[in-house]
Amino acid sequence: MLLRVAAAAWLAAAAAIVAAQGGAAPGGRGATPPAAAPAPVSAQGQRIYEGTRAQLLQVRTLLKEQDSQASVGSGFVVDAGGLAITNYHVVSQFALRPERYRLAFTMAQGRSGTAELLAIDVVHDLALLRLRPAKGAPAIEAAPLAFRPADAPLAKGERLYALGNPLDVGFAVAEGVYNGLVERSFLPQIFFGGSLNAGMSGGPAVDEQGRVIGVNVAARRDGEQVSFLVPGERAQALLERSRAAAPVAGAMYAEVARQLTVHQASLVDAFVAQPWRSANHPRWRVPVPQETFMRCWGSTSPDTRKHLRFERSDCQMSHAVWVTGQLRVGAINVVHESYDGHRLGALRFARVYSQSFQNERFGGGVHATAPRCHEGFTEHDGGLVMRTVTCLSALKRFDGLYNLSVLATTLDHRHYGVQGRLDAIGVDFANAMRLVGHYLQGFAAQAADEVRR
Amino acid sequence: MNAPRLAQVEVHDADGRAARYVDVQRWPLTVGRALDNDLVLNDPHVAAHHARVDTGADGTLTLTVLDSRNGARIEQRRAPTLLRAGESAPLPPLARWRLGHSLLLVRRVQDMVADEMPLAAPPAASRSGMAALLLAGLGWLLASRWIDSDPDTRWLDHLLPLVSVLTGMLFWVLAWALASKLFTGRFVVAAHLRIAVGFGLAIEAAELLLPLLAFVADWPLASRLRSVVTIVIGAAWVAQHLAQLQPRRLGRIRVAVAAVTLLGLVATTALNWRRNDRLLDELYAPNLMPPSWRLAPAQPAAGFVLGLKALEEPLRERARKARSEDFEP
Repeated sequence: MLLRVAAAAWLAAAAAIVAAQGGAAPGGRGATPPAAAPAPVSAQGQRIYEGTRAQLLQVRTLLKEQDSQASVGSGFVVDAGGLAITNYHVVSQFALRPERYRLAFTMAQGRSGTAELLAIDVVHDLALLRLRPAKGAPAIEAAPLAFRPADAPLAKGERLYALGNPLDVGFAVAEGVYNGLVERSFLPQIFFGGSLNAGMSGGPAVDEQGRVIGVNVAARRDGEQVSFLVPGERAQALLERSRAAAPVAGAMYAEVARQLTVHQASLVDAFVAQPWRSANHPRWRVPVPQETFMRCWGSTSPDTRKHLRFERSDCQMSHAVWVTGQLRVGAINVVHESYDGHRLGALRFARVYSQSFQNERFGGGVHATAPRCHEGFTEHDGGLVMRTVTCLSALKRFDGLYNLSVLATTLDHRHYGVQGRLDAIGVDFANAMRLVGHYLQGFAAQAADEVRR
Repeated sequence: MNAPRLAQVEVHDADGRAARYVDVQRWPLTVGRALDNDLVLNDPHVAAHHARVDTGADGTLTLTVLDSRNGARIEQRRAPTLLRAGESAPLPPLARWRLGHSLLLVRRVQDMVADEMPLAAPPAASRSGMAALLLAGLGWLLASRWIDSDPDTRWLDHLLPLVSVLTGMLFWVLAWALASKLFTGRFVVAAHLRIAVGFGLAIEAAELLLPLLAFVADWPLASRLRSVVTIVIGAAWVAQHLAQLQPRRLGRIRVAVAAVTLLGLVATTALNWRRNDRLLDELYAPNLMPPSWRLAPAQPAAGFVLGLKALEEPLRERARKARSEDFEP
């Protein structure tokens, strides 16, 4: 590809808001409390905080041997027996390396103790904890926070209050508004028009009656007051499913892999079920995905490049599943560039076309094996011949999941061409093959004499 | 009145060329550091009266080591003959022998003289060959500049890259010519120029033909081998320059260059295997040619997808291995 930088810099995915040392904490802009809020609202915020502080807690991941905290997030009590909800990414270090870390909690009221991990929902970024107060401290008997019932949907603009302990500064309440679900997202997420900061991850967002709407999960670093909540029913489902689960003892790699495998199956099913859109290219049918859960950005060659013209389409899923600090999976991206090199001549065009074809990276990163590729000339509808390269690498710790990249390059005209690339992160092998087949089927030659010169 | 010359002793320098000639008018010949010897060697590793060369009735020479700590060494075709104080051995005709760091050779009047060697200067025919080679090199440079540039690039923009390549080549050749001067005493430009242009073109040809083959015949291995072929040609290139400096040690130069190249190749492939799980660096054949150059057939896309299946087990196995090797248990 000639253009490397995505057209929209904001594609930097929403950052999970867990506070950790070294600034993994993304939303570090500092809290922006509503300036000079009118008195009644402040009073409402005060009432909300008073009503929920008994259920509010800070979840800390500590090094096992010392008391240093590796990361901090928030959580809330959802069961009188001391069950609490937080984000998976708040406790992921413990979930994956329990021999190195332990979990502790501190309540807004000052009570503290250790926490056991009962279950995780990696895909929706949730975890269920059981709180064990320190010896001698009274049991946790606060009435749990209630979830807002599903039959009472919110309207856009209704006021919400997100609670948590931002940046380990102290328990806080942040006001914002409900903005509906995030559009074009495969996984449901609530668009919260307010500030979430690192450390508030896992805390509750409640309505004016103090009922849980969602769980604080992420914020966009490149915008203002664009934050995200996991819908409350997901947390409720996890609670119902795992209320009686035994505490997790060993590393949860296999369980994470299982959940990711289920997720990628539904994602690929949904993706493959959609017909391709047309790129409106006069010579070729070029596969462009529907924008139901993706965003497509277009860009064109700079006007200084007058001899080779190209256009690019870049379709990305803006949300992927957070697995570890270095690994997000469950995303599909589709890119193509179409070239018009008739002013260059055949040899020079072949040269530039090659450069674009080799200017590709297949990064496995620390989590994936080195890639292996399969390449050849492929034949498509309408007699189109392409050079196709498919590279796969396996995720080292998540058995059966792979990263897939397909490069497909038209080879039927000496002056014109299209190069496409599909990437899928964290799919099983059968689905990788399905995606390749689906993608290659999307290419075809179509009668277009008007372009031939 | 001088006695007739019976033989001549050559004292060679470190490069094996005769530095001194000493006439022998009577036998025996004594050699040492002391001034009363027939042949005086100013070599700290040579004794005052180090050795003596006698002639027998049949004219054969005998070397006898006198009171010396280091002895003598007669270079033979197979293994050298080592002599200690008091020992003696026959000296074969035209054999080189060593006292301390001095290399000596006795040429008797009756020893055969080797045939006259032709002059190394290129005959007229190879002068036109050289011209053709230089033209080819220049043509290649211009062609690759042309293909790398946009259609309306001004000739001035081509000038600097061309000049820099030509200057680089010039300095390369001059450096080797200087080395020639150092080792052989002659400032050889033409031979080094021919080697540099010839091998440079050979590397360029490999860089063009291997990817071409990979594309035309759908044989990605050809493209992948490009790095190895380039390194091998590069090694032959350097060996050829070195051979100009030390023509007598051709065999040793070849062995040394081959060994270093092989070692380098083994090290890089091993590193590649360890890091990238493959022997050669290239992941896929990256060069696309004009579509009409393709001769290999295209397969149906569905068949191509089935071919992916072969990757599954090796990748899974690799991940399994990484799980046990890369992470703490």
